[in-house]
Amino acid sequence: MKRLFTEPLFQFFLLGLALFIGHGLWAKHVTKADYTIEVAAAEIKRQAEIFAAENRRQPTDEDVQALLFAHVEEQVLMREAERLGLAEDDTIIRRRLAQKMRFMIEDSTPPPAPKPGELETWFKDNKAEFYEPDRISFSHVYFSPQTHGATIEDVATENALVITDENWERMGDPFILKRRYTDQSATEITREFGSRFAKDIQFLKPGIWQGPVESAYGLHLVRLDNVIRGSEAEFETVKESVLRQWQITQKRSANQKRLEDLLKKYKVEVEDVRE
Amino acid sequence: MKKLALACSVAALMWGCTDNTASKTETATTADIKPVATDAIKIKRNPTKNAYFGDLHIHTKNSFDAYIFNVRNTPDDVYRFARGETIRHPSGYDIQLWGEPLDFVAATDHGAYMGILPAMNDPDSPLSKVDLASRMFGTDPELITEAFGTIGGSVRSGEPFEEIYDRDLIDATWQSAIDAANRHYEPGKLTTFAGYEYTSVTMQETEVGFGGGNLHRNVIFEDKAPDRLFATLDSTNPEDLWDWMDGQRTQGRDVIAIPHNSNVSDGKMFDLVTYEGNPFDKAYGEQRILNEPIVEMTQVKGTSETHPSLSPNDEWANFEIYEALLSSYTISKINGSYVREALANGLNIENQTGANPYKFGLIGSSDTHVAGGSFDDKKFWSKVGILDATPESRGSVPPGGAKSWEGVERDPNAENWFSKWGATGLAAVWAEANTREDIFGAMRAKETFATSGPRIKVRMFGGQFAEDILSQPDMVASAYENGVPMGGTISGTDTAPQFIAWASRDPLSAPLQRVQIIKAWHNGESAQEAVYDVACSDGATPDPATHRCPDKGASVDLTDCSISTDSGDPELKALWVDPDFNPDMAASYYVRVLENPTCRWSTWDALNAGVERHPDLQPTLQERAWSSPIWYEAKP
Repeated sequence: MKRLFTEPLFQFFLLGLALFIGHGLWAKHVTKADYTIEVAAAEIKRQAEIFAAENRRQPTDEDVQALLFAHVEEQVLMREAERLGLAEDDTIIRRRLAQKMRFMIEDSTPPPAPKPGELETWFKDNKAEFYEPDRISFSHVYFSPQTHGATIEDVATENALVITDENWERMGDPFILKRRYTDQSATEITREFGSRFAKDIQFLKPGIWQGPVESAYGLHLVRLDNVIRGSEAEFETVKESVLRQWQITQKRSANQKRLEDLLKKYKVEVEDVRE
Repeated sequence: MKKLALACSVAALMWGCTDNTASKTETATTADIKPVATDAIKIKRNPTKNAYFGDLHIHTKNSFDAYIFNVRNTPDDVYRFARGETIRHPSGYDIQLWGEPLDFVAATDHGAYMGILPAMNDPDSPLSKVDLASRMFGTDPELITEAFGTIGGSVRSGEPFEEIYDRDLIDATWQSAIDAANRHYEPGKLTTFAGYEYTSVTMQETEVGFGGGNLHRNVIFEDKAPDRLFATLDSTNPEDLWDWMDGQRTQGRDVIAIPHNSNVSDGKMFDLVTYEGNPFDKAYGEQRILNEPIVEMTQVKGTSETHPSLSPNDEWANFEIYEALLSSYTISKINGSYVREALANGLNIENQTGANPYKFGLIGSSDTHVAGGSFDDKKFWSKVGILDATPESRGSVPPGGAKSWEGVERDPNAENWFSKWGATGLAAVWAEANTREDIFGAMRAKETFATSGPRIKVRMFGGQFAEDILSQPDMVASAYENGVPMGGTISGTDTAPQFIAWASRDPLSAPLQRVQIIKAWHNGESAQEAVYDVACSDGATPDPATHRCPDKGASVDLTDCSISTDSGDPELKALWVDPDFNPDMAASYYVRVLENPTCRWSTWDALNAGVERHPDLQPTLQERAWSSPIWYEAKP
């Protein structure tokens, strides 16, 4: 007898029997579950609450009966539809499921909180993003093409010979914006004067009147008053925007990682449609 | 119960397992980063004022219609877009602002049912269980249209649809909109306002379905905003809105309403009687202009300056005209729908009642429904999300990938649909600094102007100036000292007032072709108008008899949309006196600046797609800017 149990063939037979019985029991359980609609007390309560919210009154017993009936009916129809495979190849259901999954991946994640020191380290690695640009202060005198036409260059050049720190405010044509700008970044100068002017002004010597320099509006004599060179931002002063950027980056890469992990589980086969 | 726990533990491995209320509060914290303390920043001020550009009409997913257009962008995205960051269009491509960041901005979702649609589509919200939700987010397109119509119908009638009228949820959404505006406010850099759209619509008697005259207004708060907004579901009568706004003001919350799309108001926006059809009186005029000092005159759904049939002698009146009433093919009544006529009628009303309800300034804005405005004709994404996301869906390229329009049956109603919408609408103000107080103050003072998208700058002053003021280096200071800026009033005088009209180009757009002054007045019988060219490009002067600049032949090459480089000016200015001045006749004057012609978005769409452009659509347009008026009071 003892020998029989150690016989591999017999062990194999026993295993097979166990599997057979197990499968039978499981199938019976599944079928039963599939054809049983359980309505939990919590579900009844939930339906009643929705009813109350929509109708501004508590449901009567008849209402609850009707709610239950609708619920059961929905379950029956849904399960029959599933059994017939109606969900397959239904664009709306496919999209809805994909959308739900995407929302689960992307939106249900709370924003990450940095561990102590993590933000500082990340800031050090991404300092370029928080670089404080050069800030330029300058004064200018404008010459309008409408006023001077073809002679504009001559007029500006003649004025350049006589302009001083004393008389500049009484020279040139009126300008629609300001005559004196302080602490402007290259972006701000581009916005008001065009990219060419923003580029040319960087090469001027500070403190003296120079030009003419061309802008989107005409010609200018320019005095560079001050240049604050760009510098790396101090962590403490930009802490809030570092946190915001860090959270966006973390969330984005976490979302991407999750999607990639899911993708890895699949093999993609594309049928060659070429002749 | 056991099964649920198991599902939960599996889920926990991936994204944490929380109940829904908890996850909702947590998502809110992403945005909970405090703005930099405002008093820590020294705001620079400019006594001669800077030009600031903005957009005060933007919808997000919290608007009932935008959500249906598949928009999922939030008010936070509005402010990110304004800063120049990219956001996602509902069709899946990235969109970014044309040009530098905006200076001021407001998200203005429809107040009626604000935030309700997202809840109806959220399986965890009780609102998703209502019958309307199953139809709205079901599979049957007819039921979807019908469900959408149900909500639209309720907005129009002002009768709340009880099933989905969750006032607490609307309050909560409104509070989150206020919070978003406060969170993104950076004085000196980006001014944000809490705002929403009051979406009142009239009905034509003959019409069926959703459609009617547009009486929409955007309600903008200077700083503090109340817990509960006042929407069409409270009253469809804008006069009730003004009463409510008056109440807000007594509680220390200044607020203005900015009407828009008067072009499709069916003659109701600038009507000559009240909402109920009663004659105007002084109280009406005073209350209206206190609450509505400015009008949004140009936006994606058309420009409401004037109509060719109202202004037969204005060669530039036919600019981005759109005439179909909302969601219909019915043409809006013209009289009472346009700004220039209203400026003239207002003077007559003032004569009769003692107050002018139409003494308003002008701005533009986008009315985008995807959280970011489309101002650049070269790269247009229109307005309504997935509905007009592609050139084909907005009718600028032939359907089905065809290369030409030959043999394509063209929709007779295309005239009244997306192909007629425009890449237009920026708001601009002159203010000493970029703060809520200054920008809002400029709107109250009507020192505002509108552009069709480019950042053209325009100044206007009226008064008595030195002869050589145009060549005075400190001209702006001197003009403020000796006159009033746009939005101001000049008292009656025997000497004709002088006007300074001054404009400079947008470095990113075309050079300027001409500067005009437009005069509107009322002779007691009908609205009157005149258009004067006052400064011409390329050294030319206006003909004194016709008041027109000579044609300098600026042109557009339609094969690649390039423009002629030998014509146009970067800056134009003029000192002008009305040659037909009558000291006894009140009048309003405003400046219009025209760029040289450039390609319209529909031409760019076709060019970018490499197909024939639509033969029925105007191939080019002249981008422009409009100042707010200066009023001349008749001599007593």
